[in-house]
Amino acid sequence: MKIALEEVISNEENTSFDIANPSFTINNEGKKISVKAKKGKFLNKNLILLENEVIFKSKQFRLLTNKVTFNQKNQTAESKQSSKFHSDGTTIVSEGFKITEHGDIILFNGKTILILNK
Amino acid sequence: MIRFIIIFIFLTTIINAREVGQTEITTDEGIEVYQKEKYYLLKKNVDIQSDNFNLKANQVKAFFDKDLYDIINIYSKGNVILESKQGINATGNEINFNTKNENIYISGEKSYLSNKNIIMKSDGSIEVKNNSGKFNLFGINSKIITTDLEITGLKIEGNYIFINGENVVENLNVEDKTQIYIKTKTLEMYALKADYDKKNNIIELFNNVKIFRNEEIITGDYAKINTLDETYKITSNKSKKVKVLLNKIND
Repeated sequence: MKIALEEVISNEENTSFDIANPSFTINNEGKKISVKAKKGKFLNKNLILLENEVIFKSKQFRLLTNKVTFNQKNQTAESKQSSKFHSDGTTIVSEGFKITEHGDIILFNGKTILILNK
Repeated sequence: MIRFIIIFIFLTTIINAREVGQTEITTDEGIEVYQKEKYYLLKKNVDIQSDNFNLKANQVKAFFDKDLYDIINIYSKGNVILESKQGINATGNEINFNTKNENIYISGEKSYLSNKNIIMKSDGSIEVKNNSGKFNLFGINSKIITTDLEITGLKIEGNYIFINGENVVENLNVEDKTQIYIKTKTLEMYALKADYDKKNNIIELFNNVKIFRNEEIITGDYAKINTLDETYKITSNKSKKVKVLLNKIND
């Protein structure tokens, strides 16, 4: 199986945003997960909607999607959009995900394909 | 209203046939990855295709070592079907499969395992250590069928070896509280316990022994059967008598 990234250009209704190129960190014991996106919008005090090229990156994995709700306080994240996870020898494509326990638990939702390469 | 052109990465999958060396896993309801505990849960209609085995189940818990790709053990439940490229086919309610040494533990009603010419069935559990050939069946309707033998009992344990492209049972112990059953080409045997030794070509039967051959029925407390020529010696402890019934054959 080959999993390819296809760049798609789409016109979308502009939604206002509060932060350009937002960047956060999920702190875990001995490892950090950086969270980056093109846009961010505060939904309330703790919840931020991250949009466009949202990337979760740690030494162990990289997770890409297009829209994520990030909770600053709990350091959790949830997406209901197509997502792609990469780690050593592993690719996971799912219909969404949820990150909890500071990144120790990742739940991939919906129909999911996991490719192991080693 | 200002329109922005948003460029984003849309994730698509181009699904081709699985490449050699790859393991492809699909699920209907996602995957839960527990990094600290080093396992992941695969949920609903799980299908695993790899070079060494294929597995289908309702739910799978895969334990890994170095990273997710390094699966060391798979615990599956719900209509599990396992096909190993080494010739093992297994089905059952629950199957625990060690991907490194191919040890298999199957439990639940209608547990089934075949390895080339050996078939194992049980409504309890079947355990096979594939490297050593040791096996263990426990529970009602536990049965082993080979080219030469059919054995039924509550508890069956033994081991098989691979000779000339066939798995051959080397030795075997069978026990049951009510009755065990062994069938060879010419004999049908009942007892409470039996030992089989392929090396010495001997089957020993213990307690409530009954042997049927054609129209001949012999009962006793102990029997020793030579599996090469299927001759046997039978003794009785209490009455010191062996009962022989000969039925008349109507030509």
